[in-house]
Amino acid sequence: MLEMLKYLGEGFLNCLDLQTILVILAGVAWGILGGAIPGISPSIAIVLALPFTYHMDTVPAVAMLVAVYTGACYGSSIPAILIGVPGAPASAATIADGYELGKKGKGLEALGISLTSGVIGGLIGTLLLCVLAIPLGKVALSFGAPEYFAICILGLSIVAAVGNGSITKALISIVIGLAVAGIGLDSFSGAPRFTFGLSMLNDGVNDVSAMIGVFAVGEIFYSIYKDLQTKKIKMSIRIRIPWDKIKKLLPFTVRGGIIGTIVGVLPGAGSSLAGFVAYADAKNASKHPEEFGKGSFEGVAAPESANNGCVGGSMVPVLALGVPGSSGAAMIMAAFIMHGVVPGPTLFEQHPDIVYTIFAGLFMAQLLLFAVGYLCMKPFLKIIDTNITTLNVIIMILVLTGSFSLSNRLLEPAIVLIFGLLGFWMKLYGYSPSAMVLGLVLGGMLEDELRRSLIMSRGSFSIFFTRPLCLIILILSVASVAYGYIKSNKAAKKAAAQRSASDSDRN
Amino acid sequence: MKRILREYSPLVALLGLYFFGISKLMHKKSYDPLGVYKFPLFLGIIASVLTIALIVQACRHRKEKPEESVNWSTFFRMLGVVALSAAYLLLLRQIGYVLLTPIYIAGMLLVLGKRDWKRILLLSVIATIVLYVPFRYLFKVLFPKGVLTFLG
Repeated sequence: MLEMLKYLGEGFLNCLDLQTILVILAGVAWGILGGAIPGISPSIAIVLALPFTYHMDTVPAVAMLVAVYTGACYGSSIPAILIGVPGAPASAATIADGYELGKKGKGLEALGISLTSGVIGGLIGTLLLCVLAIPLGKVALSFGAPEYFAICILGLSIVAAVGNGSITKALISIVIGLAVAGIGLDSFSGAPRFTFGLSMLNDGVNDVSAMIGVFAVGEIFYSIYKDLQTKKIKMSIRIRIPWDKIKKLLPFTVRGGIIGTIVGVLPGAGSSLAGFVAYADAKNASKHPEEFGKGSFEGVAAPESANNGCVGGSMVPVLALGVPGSSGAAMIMAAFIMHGVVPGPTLFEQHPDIVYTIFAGLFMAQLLLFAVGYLCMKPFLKIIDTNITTLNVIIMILVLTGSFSLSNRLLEPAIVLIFGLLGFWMKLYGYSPSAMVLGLVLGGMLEDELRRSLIMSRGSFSIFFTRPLCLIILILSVASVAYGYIKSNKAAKKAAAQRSASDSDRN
Repeated sequence: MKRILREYSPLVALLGLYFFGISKLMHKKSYDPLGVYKFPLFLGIIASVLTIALIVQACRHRKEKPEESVNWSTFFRMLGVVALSAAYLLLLRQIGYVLLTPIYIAGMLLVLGKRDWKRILLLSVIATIVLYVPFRYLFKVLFPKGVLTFLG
């Protein structure tokens, strides 16, 4: 422990170098901008920053890329809150409440909470990374296909919390998401599935395009249909961080940060899953679960904290095992290798100076994120200080252009349009776009791990009940469903009782 | 009854398309015990059961929920936006991003009721430039050039 503190102290001293501070600052600013543009995911933002690191030393190079990753995770929440467009999959869970707050004119407060929670979550993730990198890495390594399948089931078990309203409709939404995830070449046999002879669908449906469509374009169609275009969002443009609210939200932020770190450690799980799990946890823990989906600050703080906590978590398998857990982490690993440092179990023994300087850089990135994020709020707010018709048209062309940039193919904007119609239908009739996205994000992993597990057990489902870790996660999933169901039932009864009491008062 | 038909017919149509897709997978071989079509089939069965449950629920409570009338004028305006966007994507390859985008933006603003020509023109051109420059030169996106083949 003392040795770790010594290395960390040296790391901070190394980071106080002007070049390192400047590159972290530039990385954070670039990350925020990249994350805020739909279609530019954190990994794309990192790729675009990679050429700038060619001539840098290892520490500033990796610190810059990690700063881009951190900035992009926060940046993606800006369009999610202000215009209902997920800048990246990481912010999918934030939309439900963030955008509702934005529509109520509380977008600035929501942005302040998103930024502060993100920074706190990021600091938690980095702290856990410093202390638990090696043991957490070993835990992640002990996960096999059945455990990953159980993690997916745990992820899906939060459907009761994600879907606001009819549980049957939320379940249908999740099944739609799982079905969409099945489009493309089968990963085991290579057979095309649900492509209807169209070879362009062989790669499947891009998560980002589908998310942009179902959330942003669906919302635009809905606002046109419901004739909400003449309304203008009235918003105070005085920038302030709502410290009183942040203090109250601290338990949700801390829980979100821890959840984000744990989910981030698991390779392939991703920050969108971390956001959804933290959202569901916050709803279950909240005294006002009925406010979720209608503009709850708790529903913004928890997923945003989890998103940024995920950055620290995703660095665990990279540094401790040499296995990238996400595409963003894979880019950072590539930067390590490019600079002649091979991540893995020996990294802590051979280059502790580099490892702890990167940890210190991560801490610094979080602090600089707060400063840059704060300064960025007002310019971004100007975006929505416009007529809704004009804003809708600008969002429409922005998402079509952004989705085209994902693969330079017209298929992506076409997917955005089709999923926009699906999102419109879901919103009109009370289905849950968030639950659909949850199914879409987890679908591929769920089926692949199920099939992999059954290959391991030669077709026997008993494999899920004979492995202790897997069984514990499955029991947790059942408990999560039961708890969510009981809690939402109680909330519904309470709301009904309040309604009948107010009706009798009026009579 | 109209509301129930409106609400659930897209879902039933989606299910039909999904089962048609599954039927195409039945003969595909895979070395794993679950195979190519069993997981989708399982999802299809769950979706069917849930849909039936929803329709039954809706029929039971149909008197409680008043039938909401469709606002046809806003519905057609929305369809106009969908048609315009679809046409934009279909023509993008032939006409090119730089030329077609301002036309699309202007068309959208007109469909949505804007009539201030000066503003429409200004917004279409500025929005196209603001989008094209960073995406093309910063993010290196290769937009369709269409008729303007000289564009870099």
